[in-house]
Amino acid sequence: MNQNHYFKNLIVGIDETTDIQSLLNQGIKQFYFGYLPCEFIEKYDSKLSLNRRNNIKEQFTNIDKIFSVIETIHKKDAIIYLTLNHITSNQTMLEYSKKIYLLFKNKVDGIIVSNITIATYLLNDGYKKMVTSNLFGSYSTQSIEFLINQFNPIKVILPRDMRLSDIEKIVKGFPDTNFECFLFGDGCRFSESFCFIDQGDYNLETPTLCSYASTNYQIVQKANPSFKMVAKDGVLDDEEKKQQLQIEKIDVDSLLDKLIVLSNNFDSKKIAYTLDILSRIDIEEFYKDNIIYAKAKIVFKILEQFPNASKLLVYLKEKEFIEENGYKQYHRTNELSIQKTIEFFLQSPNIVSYKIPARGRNITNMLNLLKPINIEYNYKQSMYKL
Amino acid sequence: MKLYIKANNKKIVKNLDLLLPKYNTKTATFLDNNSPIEYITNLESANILDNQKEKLFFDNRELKNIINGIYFGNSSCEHLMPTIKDIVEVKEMIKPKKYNFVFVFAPLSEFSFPKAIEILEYLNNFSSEVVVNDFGTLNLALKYKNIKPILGTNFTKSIKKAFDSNIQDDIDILHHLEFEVKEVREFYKGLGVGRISCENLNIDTAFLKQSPYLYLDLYYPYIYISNSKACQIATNFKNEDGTFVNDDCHKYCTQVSCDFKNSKIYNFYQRYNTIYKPNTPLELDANIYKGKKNRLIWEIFL
Repeated sequence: MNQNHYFKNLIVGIDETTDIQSLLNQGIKQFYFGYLPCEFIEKYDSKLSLNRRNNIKEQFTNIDKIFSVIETIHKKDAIIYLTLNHITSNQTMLEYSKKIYLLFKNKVDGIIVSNITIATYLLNDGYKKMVTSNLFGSYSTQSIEFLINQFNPIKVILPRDMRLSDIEKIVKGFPDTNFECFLFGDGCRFSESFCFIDQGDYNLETPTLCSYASTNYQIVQKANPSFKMVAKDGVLDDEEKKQQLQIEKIDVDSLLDKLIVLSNNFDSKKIAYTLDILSRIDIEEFYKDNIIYAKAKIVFKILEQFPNASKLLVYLKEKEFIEENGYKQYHRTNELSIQKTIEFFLQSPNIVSYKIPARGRNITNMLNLLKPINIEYNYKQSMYKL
Repeated sequence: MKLYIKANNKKIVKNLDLLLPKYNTKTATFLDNNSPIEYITNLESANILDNQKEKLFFDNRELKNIINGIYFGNSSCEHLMPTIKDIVEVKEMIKPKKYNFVFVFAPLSEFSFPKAIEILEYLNNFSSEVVVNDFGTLNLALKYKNIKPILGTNFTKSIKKAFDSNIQDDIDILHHLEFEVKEVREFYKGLGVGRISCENLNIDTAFLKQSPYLYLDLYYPYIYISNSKACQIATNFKNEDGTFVNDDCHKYCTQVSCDFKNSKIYNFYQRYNTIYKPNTPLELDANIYKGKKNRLIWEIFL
C-alpha cells in the first residue's frame, strides 16, 4: 500500500495559509474550513469563535479567498465542508451564523454543526446536507439514533476519545449512515463535547488549561463528608483538629516517610492501608527522584512480609529493564497506531472519512505520519485501544 | 423555588444531617486556606442559603425542613453510576423524610447502556424524574412511559473562563444560553422535555418568561468546567487499560482527589473526572427564584 491509499478517505482542515494545490496533487479529496466575518471579529475577536477554533490563524476571514479555494477544490472533483460548530449558539451567535450560512449554503458540500440551535435552524430551512459534529458527544448507538431521527445528517462525526471496538459497533449498527472518525487527538485532554472552557488569551504559544492541569496537579486525600465530627471530638486538642481538617497530600515521598514511622510503631493495619495507596500510584513516580527510588527499595524490603510491599519491590526491579512507555500520554501522534487505525477505518465501508485534527498548521508534517510501515501495534501509545 | 440536595454518592446521603447547617461555627474555627475546598464551600454555601431562605424558598424554617428531595448520582463520570441496590438503599434512607427522589446520569458511552437500561426499567415502575447529560441517555429515557427526563448541566453548555483573559465579562454572548432561541425550546418541548439545568453563573434568564416555557434547575455552589475520559486521577494510578479509561476503571477517585498548584489563585479543582470551580456568592435573578417550580440544587459536598 502506498501513501495515496491512506489519503483516500482523509479529510483535511484548511486555513488561509494552506497550500491547497499541493494537497490536491497528493490526492486528498475532502476538506473543511471555518469562516469568521470581519464584523464579528471586530466586535468579539476570534477568541469567541463561531466554529470552536479560537486562533485567527485557523480561520478564513477573506471571503474572496475562500470562494476561490472552493472553486479550485471543486474543479478537482474534491469536496469541502463549512464548519458552524461552536459548542453552543445563543440568539446573537445564531444571527451571525445565519449570515455565514446564506453566503455558503449553495457553495459547499455540507455544513458541520454541533448544537441544537444551528441544527434546528438548518432543518427548518430545509437544508439537506447537514453533518453532525463530534461536539454533539455521540459516544453511543443511542446518541447516533437520536441524531439520525432528529436531523437525518449526511454524515456523523464520532468523538475522538472512543474505543475502536465502540466505533466498530456503531458503524455496523448503522450501515446506511456515513461516519467520520479522528486518527488521533491534538492535545485536548478533556472530552471536547463536555468541555466548556474558554481559553481566553489562548494562542499556540501559551498553555491551555489542559496542559496546565496535566503538569501542575497534586493528588490529595479525599475530603470526608463527616468532617464536622472532628470539630465535635472530645479527645483531640485544637491543634490536632486543625491538622485533621487540612488537605492531606498523597505523594510517594511523604507516603514512604509515613511507612517508616508506621513500621517503627508496628502499626500493621495502617501499614497495609498506606501500601495499598502506594501500590496504585503510577510506578513512574518512583523514578522521578533517585533518593525516592532508593528509599522505596529499602522500605519495601523491610516490609516485604506485606503482599503489596513485595509486589512493589518486584515492580521496581522489573521496571529497571523496561523502556519508557507512553500510557500516561493522552494523545500521541504515534506512527504505528495511526497506521493501524487507518487500516481499521478502511475496512468499514461507511467510515467515509477520517481526519487529522489540525486546521492548516503542521499539515505537511502530519501527512508524513501516514506512510505505511510494518511494525507491531502498541495500544499504550495510541489513543485507541484495540 | 424549591430546595433539593445533590448527592454524588451514598456516603453523602448518610451524612446529610451533618452537612446541613450544624456545628458550623465551631468547625469554621478549625478551617483555613489549607482545608479542602469541600469543607469551606459547604460551610459558606450553608450560611448563604440560610440567610436567603425566605427570599429564595418563601420559607423561614430551618433548611433541613425546607428540603424537597434528593438528586442522586454522579453527573460527570459514568464509571461512578450507582447500582439499583444503591438506589434502593438511598430511597430507604430518605423515606422517613418523604423526600422526592431524582436520579442523575452522567454522559454515557456504549458500555454503560446495559446498566442504564436496568436502572431506567427499575425507575419506570414508579413515576420518576431522571437527569440526563447526553443525547444518547435522553434518547433512551424518552422510550420509557413513566420517566420524565431533565436536561442536565451538560446540555446548557455555558462557556466558562479558564484563566483570567482579555475577553471582557460584559460580552453579551457569554451570558446567554441557547435556550433563549425559541426554536430550541420548541425542539425540547416537542420531545417532552420541560426542565433544564444551569449553574450559578451570571446568565440572562429572560427566556424563562417566554413561551414555550421551561422550568429551571439551578446547581449551586459548584460550576463544572470540563469533564474527561482522560481522567487525571485514573491515569495517575496504575491503569493497564491504556490512554483512556475504559469499562474497568478502578475508581480510585473515590479515595483521592486532585488539586492544582496555585489552586487558590485559579480556584479550580478536580474531583472525579471533572474540573470544578466553587462559586458561592448567590445573587439570583427574580426570574429564577420567583418561579415556584424552579429548583435550587444544592451540591452539598463533592
